[in-house]
Order: sequence, then C-alpha cells, then structure tokens
Amino acid sequence: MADDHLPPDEATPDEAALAVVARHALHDEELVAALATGSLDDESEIQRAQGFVDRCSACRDLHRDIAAIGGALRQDARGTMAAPRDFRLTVEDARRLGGPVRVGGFAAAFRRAFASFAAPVGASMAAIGIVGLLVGSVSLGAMSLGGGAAAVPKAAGTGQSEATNAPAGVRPGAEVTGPKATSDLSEAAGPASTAFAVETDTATPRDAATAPGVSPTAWLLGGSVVLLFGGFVLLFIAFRRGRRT
Amino acid sequence: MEDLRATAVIDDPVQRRDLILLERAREGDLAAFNDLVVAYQDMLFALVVRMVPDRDSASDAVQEAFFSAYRNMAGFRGGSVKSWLSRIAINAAMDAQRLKKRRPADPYPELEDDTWQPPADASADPVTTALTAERHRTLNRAMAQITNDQRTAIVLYDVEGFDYAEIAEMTGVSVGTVKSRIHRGRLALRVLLLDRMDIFRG
Repeated sequence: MADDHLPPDEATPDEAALAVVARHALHDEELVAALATGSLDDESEIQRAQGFVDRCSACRDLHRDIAAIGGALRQDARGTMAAPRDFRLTVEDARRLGGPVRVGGFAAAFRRAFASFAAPVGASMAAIGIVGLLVGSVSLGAMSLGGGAAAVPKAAGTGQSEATNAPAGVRPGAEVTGPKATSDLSEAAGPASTAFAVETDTATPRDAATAPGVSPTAWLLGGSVVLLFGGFVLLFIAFRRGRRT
Repeated sequence: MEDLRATAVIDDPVQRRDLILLERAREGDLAAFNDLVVAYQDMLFALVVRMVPDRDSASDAVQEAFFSAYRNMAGFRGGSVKSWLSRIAINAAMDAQRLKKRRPADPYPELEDDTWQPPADASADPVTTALTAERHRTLNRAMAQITNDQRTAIVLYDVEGFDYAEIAEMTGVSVGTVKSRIHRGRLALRVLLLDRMDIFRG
C-alpha cells in the first residue's frame, strides 16, 4: 500500500503500464473505432476521440489497428476467387422459373443473322435502286425527246411518206403508220429486210411502250424506288443496331 | 418492352455488354443470361462467401441469387447490371444467414479457400504475396466469428464499397445502426486478431 503514495516519477514500469491501462479503461473505445472508421459526423465527438488518440497510447494503438484492419479488408476485396461450380441455368431451370425460354431459338438466330446482313444487303439494294432510277430517267428522257420528234411531222402535216418516218425509230408515230410503213419498207428493201420487218412487227417491248398499260420504264422507275426505300430501311436498322452494339 | 440501353449511360463497354445480354435474356435468350452468369459468378461468390463463410451455403445462395435474377429480370429498371446482381446476391446471402440463425448449433466451418488469388501486382515479391495470402486467411477466420449483422455491414462497407445510406437501405436498419455495426465489428475483429496484428500493421 505504500506504493500508492509514491510520486509518479518514482513509479515502476509495471505501475506505469497499469496506470495507462487504468486510464484507457475510462476511454470510449467505440468512439475511437468510429473515428478510425471515419463514421463520426459530430465535430465535438471527433475532437473527443482525437483527444483520446493524442493522449492515450492504448487508444493510439487501437486507432492504428482499426485502420489497419479496414485497409486489409479493402485490400482483400481486390483479390479474386473462383466460384466452386458453374451456376449457369439449364433449360429446365428456366422453364421451372417461368421465364421466357427461347434457347438459341429460331427467332433469335434470325434476328442475329438479319442484323449481320442488313447493312450489306441494304447498301446493295440502295445502290441498285439508284442505278435503276438513273436508267429509268434516261430512257424516260429519250422517250420524251422521241415523242417530240414524232409530233413535229404530224403537226406539220408534210407530204413526206409515212414510211420514211418509221425507221427513224419514232414509235408514237409508228402506232399510226406501223404495219403499212413496215411493209412498204420491206418491199423497197427486198428479201434481206423481210426478217427485219418481221422482227419489228413482233417487237413487243416497243409495242408495250406504246400500249395503253404500264410501260417498262414505269416498272423500272417504280421498282427502283421500292429498292431504294427498302435499302434505306435496312441501312437504318443496321445503323441502329450498330450504335447499340 | 422497355429498351434498357436507351436510358442508360453506355460509355462503359462492360455495362453496355451487360445491358445487351440482359435485354436478349428478357426476350427469352437463355444463352445470353448464362453469359451474364459466367461473367459475374466468381464476383458474386466472393461477395456471398464473405457474408456466409461456408462454401456450400454460399454456393446455394449464389445459385438462388441467379434464379431470383432470372425470375425478376423483367423488373430491372436500368442502371448497372453488376449492382443489380450484387443486391440480389446480398439479399440471398442475408436469407442464408437467417436460415443459419435458426440452426445455431452448426457453427460456420473454417473457410478453406484455395482459389483466392491476391490482386495482381507486378511489383509484388513472393514474400509480399505470401503475407497477403496469410492476411486473407487470418482475416477470414476472424470474420467467420463475428456476428452476421456486423459481418454484413463490414463486407458491404469495406469490401463492396457501398455507402452507409445504401447499406441501411439494403439491410433495413438506420444509418446510425450501420455505422455502429461497422465500428463494433472492427473492434471485435481487433480483439480476435490481437495476437496477429503484426501482419496487418505492415
């Protein structure tokens, strides 16, 4: 009991350690742990905890250890771990769970295939469409020119033979003068031109062009527009899919 | 069906891949869902086994998590697929903990985890690698001995990096309780690790 009366500087090392432990027992370890975790918001609590850490070696050790454990946990999280088994779902699992099962279904395969081919097919269709439009426009222009040329002699009402107009390829005029003009030519040119005469008689496209129905040029132009439109639609779909992926 | 990618920020290629796979899965493509499973099964197992330190129970919980994800993928409202799966796995792990609580006679066996690999670090020498592995084993043993609530809070905060509010929402308690569980859990770990603290102090 005499030791109780020793001044602090004469205390033995054991007694000094005991004094530290005794003082530390009065300190709030949870507060120090909270400080180390960084979960204190209240300024007064932070100052109080910091005071423990500054003045008490046991609190300082505690603070350091708690922070070290936190650091070890975070470092541990960066490690990798292999799953002990394969958790992939079977078709039976999927059916049991009531999900929409379409295991590599035809529709999914079709969608994938469609997405792959949409861009090249769309580009090809659009290119063919543009070419068709150009060709159609050119032949339409040629027809218009030809129609104009045919109209001139008719309107002028010259005494020229109708047959001389016919070989020039003026088809609108040919409808009026066709068979007669051809036979006149055949007679004039002799047997060699008979075959030509027969050919021109049976040249259905020319006739079709002059028929009251839809002309081949109109078919060409219409088809080209459809192709062009379809091509652009496919390209748009491919572009959207491309942006997503 | 809502286009998941339309509302999401898809600068991250992994997230973009996940959203595409999930959308295909929602359309009935099981292979796409299984691609997601393969991508995340290791990560989710690592998360769950920290919360449920028993490989068998953790495996069952992860499988349940994937079942639950498949069942509820129509309810996915965009954002990170990884976070969505993590939350489902955390719920599955907490269910597994509750199941274990009802049968307290069987303590968690020591987690023998041979598959854990320390983070790849080119500068790490063999001694550091061995020390990291030893820390991992020691920490796992201690983690298995603290309470489920403390372990869950610590794993979500220190390992998964969720903030207090997110953990509070996930676990259904207040933010103050979450903070308390975290620092009390660390205190408990310190008591358990006191004679091995030398390997943690670096």
